Amino acid sequence: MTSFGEPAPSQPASEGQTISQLHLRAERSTARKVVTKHRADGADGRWVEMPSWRFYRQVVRVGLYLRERLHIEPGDRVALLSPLRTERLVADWAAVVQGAVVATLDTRLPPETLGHALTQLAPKVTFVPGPAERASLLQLSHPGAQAGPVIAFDSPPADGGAAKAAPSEGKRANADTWAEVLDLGGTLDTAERALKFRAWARSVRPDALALAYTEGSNGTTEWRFLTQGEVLRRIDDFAPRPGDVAYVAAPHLPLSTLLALRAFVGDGRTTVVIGTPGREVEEIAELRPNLLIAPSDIIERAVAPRRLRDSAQDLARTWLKRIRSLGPMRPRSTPQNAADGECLRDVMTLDGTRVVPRNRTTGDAP
Amino acid sequence: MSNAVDAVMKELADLGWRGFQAVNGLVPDSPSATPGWAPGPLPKSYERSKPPLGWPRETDSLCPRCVIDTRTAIIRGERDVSELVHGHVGEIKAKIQEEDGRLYIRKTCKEHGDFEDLLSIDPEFSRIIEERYPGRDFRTLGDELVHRHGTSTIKYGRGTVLTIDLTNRCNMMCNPCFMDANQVGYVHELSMDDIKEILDASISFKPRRQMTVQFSGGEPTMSPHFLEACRYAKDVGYFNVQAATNGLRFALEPEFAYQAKEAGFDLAYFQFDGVTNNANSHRHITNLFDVKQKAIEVMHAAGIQILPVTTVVNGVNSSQVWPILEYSLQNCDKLDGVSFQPVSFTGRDEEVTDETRRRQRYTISHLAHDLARHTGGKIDPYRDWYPLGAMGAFGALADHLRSLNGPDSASNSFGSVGCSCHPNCGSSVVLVANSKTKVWSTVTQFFDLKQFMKDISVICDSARGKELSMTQILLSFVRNYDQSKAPSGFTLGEFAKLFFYGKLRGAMGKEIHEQDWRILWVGGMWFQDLWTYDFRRTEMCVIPYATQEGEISFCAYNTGVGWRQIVENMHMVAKTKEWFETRGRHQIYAGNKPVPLEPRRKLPVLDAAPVVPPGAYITETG
Repeated sequence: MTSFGEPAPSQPASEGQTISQLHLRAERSTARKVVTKHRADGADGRWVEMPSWRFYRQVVRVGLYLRERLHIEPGDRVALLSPLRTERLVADWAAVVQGAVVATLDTRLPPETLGHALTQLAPKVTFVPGPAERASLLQLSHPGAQAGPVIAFDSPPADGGAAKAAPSEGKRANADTWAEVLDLGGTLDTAERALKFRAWARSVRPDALALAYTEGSNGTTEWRFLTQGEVLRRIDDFAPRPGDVAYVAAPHLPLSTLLALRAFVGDGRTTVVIGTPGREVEEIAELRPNLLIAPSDIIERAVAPRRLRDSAQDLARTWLKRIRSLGPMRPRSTPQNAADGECLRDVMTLDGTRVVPRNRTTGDAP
Repeated sequence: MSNAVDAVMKELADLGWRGFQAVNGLVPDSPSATPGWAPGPLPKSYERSKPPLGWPRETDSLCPRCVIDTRTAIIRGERDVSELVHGHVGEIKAKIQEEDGRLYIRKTCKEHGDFEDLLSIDPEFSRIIEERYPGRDFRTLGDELVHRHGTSTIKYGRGTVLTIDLTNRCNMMCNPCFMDANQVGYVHELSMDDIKEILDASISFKPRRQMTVQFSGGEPTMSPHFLEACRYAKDVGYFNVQAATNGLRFALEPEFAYQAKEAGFDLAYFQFDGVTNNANSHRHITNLFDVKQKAIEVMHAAGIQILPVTTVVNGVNSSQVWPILEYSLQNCDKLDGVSFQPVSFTGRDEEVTDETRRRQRYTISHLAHDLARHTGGKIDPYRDWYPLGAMGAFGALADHLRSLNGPDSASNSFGSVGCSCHPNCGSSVVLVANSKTKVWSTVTQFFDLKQFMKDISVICDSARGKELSMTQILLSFVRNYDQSKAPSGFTLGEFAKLFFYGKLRGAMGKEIHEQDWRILWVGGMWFQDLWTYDFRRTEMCVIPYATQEGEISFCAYNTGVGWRQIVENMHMVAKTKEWFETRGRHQIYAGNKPVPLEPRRKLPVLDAAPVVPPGAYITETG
């Protein structure tokens, strides 16, 4: 077993290598069609894909909003207080590509600790999952805690035309929700503004801070930082191949998982599947990911050898489901043969411990 | 030797065709299929209706003065828009007649006096075009909520191009501009919900045919929903998505071209006025031709097809007609032909003086003769030009072939593209050109298109099974092809590839194969204005505007009663001043200044990339 992702001593980053440049190259490569995939809410639970063109346009829109409306400069902090979801990845990427420092706040922190963390961090904007989280963050009574403007990924339930009317028909300059950010950031989605976004991205230096994190979830809020160059060097350890699918089931996001996500999103070749809580094993069997990041208990259930009867049940369930949905009829793997090297190449627990050696299929040992 | 073999093949195919038809004619026609997308059985050629053609003839037209008065009153709120739907606002009779070797339209308004304009400088050319028109498509069914515009209502067919104006904002300030972009004092811009509603409504009635969805404006790429709109049009089921664009955004932001292609954008209907910067000077950008070339390069690299479109004004840029076509031929690997649009005096130009209008009037017949003169007769006005509606014959053949797959086949969810517009709306020439050797010819030089269209009618009317239909198509195809008149290096095999993978499959909504020989379409699309207006054309429009107020004939929207101004006023989202206050100003390239094009650099995709200095401009994927 090898562990990785632990903070290593800082080294000078190779010149010219920044996450921002990685983003610009990935954007031009158009080597992948889908950046993220997740299950829709609701009864049908179908897979919702975010194509790369939409991902990159949203990154530009959100980036422009942060820069032009909130005046976020390189080195400013952007806080994310949300479980893993597509909007979170876009917000993370939009901020970091422009040189902002993205800080991940643990969603499990009690209010007082959260207030303390915000006081230390002093973010210029905070993203949260929904209106309820937004309201509670705004009501945080910790002295000195400043979350900046708080933006909710989900909009409040629409009542009549109110949601539609704002902000397009009103005169609001700032947004409370993700939809408004996209609208206001990208309304003048012109070549000049997109070029301005890219010019900003190119100007980010390798020694600019890029990522803020706290270690563990034991109540400590001691912030640590990595620069653009350091992040880039660490994510070199991941070696996705064109067309890889990375399945990520992460109820919380420690540093190693954050780095892995940046590797997958930034390489321009990998599709990130965001796992559905409670359905991870089933989804891993269905999707046959090449890369897997999940808590150890899920990995154990999905990858460890299992009894023949369980395997047969899983297989039968998968086939029945496909037949019912009249989907493509090609054989699917079970978690077992996936783990045996049919497609799964790399498995990592949330704390950064690899449980399947890389290049398993070629027999190389780490 | 080869020529002899080809000649023998042609004779054998002719004998085979005649022999087949000798038997086929003895068997009654099979009944036509009724696919799910159609409002009834596929029409036989003899069941298709035609509008009144020939001359002298009388038609319904508009008084250029009454219409402007009424429209202004409606916009001011002094009169109700329902008058347009339930009344006959500004309508007068018009006569089309030949005089002194010219074709004229003449009309008299009791209040405003006489009006006259030129329709053709060659009545024989116009007669041939009308004669080659195969007939209208189905009458529409179940479209009461979509087509509801009084006497301007579209009554026939489904159309070919569905135009959707995404925004009236533009990043240029041209003169003329038929929609007065940036000048009207308000912003009319569709939300994504609007776009979805419009596209959903467009497939809600029969016939449900394949169409090209063309996003327009303003400059459509300025809409924040442009990419989403492209994707949604494909999701609805349309096979081709275009944008009427000036290309500036693609030239400035190459990444956008790749993203657009990925989102489903297929073809740029590309504003293109001449092959020098000087010939584009009326657009008020000093390096506009350089910008256009850059846009072509970028879009081609991203896999986007490009069709240049040129508005031709007599004495202003009519001298550019041949240079533009020549440029297309030289760049036929990147360009799909040219669409010439003889000027339509509308928008700001409605105030044109009679003298200027007469001097600047340009018709399809002008275009046919200009091209004949420049090519030394290689493009023959009488042999090579066909009405745009002639393409309907190929659509009918594709419909017939697909109906043989069975009514429930997935390929029958949409009918094929059915271009059946009025023969006075436009005409075109089809060329073949070799992208390497640059050799070119009109198709009708070596292929008897007129006879082939008659043969298609026989095949569709008799409606035999799949094998017999395909046999007839092959026999007809070979017997109408003359190798001795084909351009150097062009063979029957090449033509078959172009036809079966290009023309026919294109009509059926399939991919088109890449090869050295390319088909180029040179079209003349003549939109009506208040002086040339003919309601018989409006009611069979194939390029409707899809709006929040239903689908409106192109000419009724932009000219005629001017639905554009009415719809945009009804659905404006903000006054321009308010828009700028909340959203900021957008860049407009004008004032006789250049667009800043950065130098080009190459950049590898991922590994061992060179350092890109701040401000460097990247245009190509390494």
